[in-house]
Amino acid sequence: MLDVNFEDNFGIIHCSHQTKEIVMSSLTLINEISGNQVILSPIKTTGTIRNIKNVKDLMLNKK
Amino acid sequence: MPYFESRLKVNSNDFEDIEQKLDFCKNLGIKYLILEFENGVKNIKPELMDKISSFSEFKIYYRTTFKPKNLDDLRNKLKQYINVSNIIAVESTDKEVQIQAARDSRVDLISFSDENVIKTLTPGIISLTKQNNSFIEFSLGLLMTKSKVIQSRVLRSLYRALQLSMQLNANFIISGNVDNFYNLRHPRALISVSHTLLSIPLLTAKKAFSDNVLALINRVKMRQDKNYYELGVKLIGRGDIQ
Repeated sequence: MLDVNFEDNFGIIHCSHQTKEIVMSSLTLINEISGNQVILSPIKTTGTIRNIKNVKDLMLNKK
Repeated sequence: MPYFESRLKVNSNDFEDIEQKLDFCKNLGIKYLILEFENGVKNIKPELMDKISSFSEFKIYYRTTFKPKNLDDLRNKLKQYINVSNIIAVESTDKEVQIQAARDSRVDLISFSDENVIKTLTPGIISLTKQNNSFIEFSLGLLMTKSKVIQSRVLRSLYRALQLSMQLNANFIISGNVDNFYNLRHPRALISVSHTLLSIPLLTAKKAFSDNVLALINRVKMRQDKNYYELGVKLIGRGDIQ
């Protein structure tokens, strides 16, 4: 986990391209944390951290 | 590539529920939806359709799912819905009903979304749907249950059915079909689940959420077209390009 922001509801996860699908499916199957219902939904996949940070900035500016 | 949520159940008498579900889909980034009215499509008011179509960020299609008790029930329901321009799906544990539905060109989709129904999938049904260019539906909503026992049982049944479908080159689509808001997921996330847990090749999984759903919608459009006879045969009028 590289970054997490509970106020704006996002986080950045770093993994290898071979494990991307496994990470995504494990996040998909989580529907409860400590009794609270949650959805962990993938928004964007990129190849570099710099790129995803740009996307994050763009999304936050949109809000 | 448009990824579809091919089965989102909504209550036609409760617009707030529909609005809430569509808002949820918007937040998750789901843009292509196939809605199923839980209480049937026959008594849907045009105003409701207008209200739903005002959500301009979505591309929305509609479906009707029959759960006939026997063959006569299936025939009656198909007769009643002959002019409906929705996707017609049939879901039944009865083998005779499944065979009849797979043979009938008015039926677009044979649904195997329920745990008890998945087990009844046979190569014969797959072969008939292929001949008729109709589709088979599986749902991943069953995997979102809290009970690990049920989850592993469903996973086994789904795995077997999907492997059989792939082996026989069936036309199949995969839908979410969840009851609870919090179990709703973006189709891309469901593709990952299909790939990792159900051993479906990534491209095949993507097809089941995208290309095959588009082909299903196309089939419905063709069914409504009076000039269309069967796959590849269409009466072309003077001046028509296609």
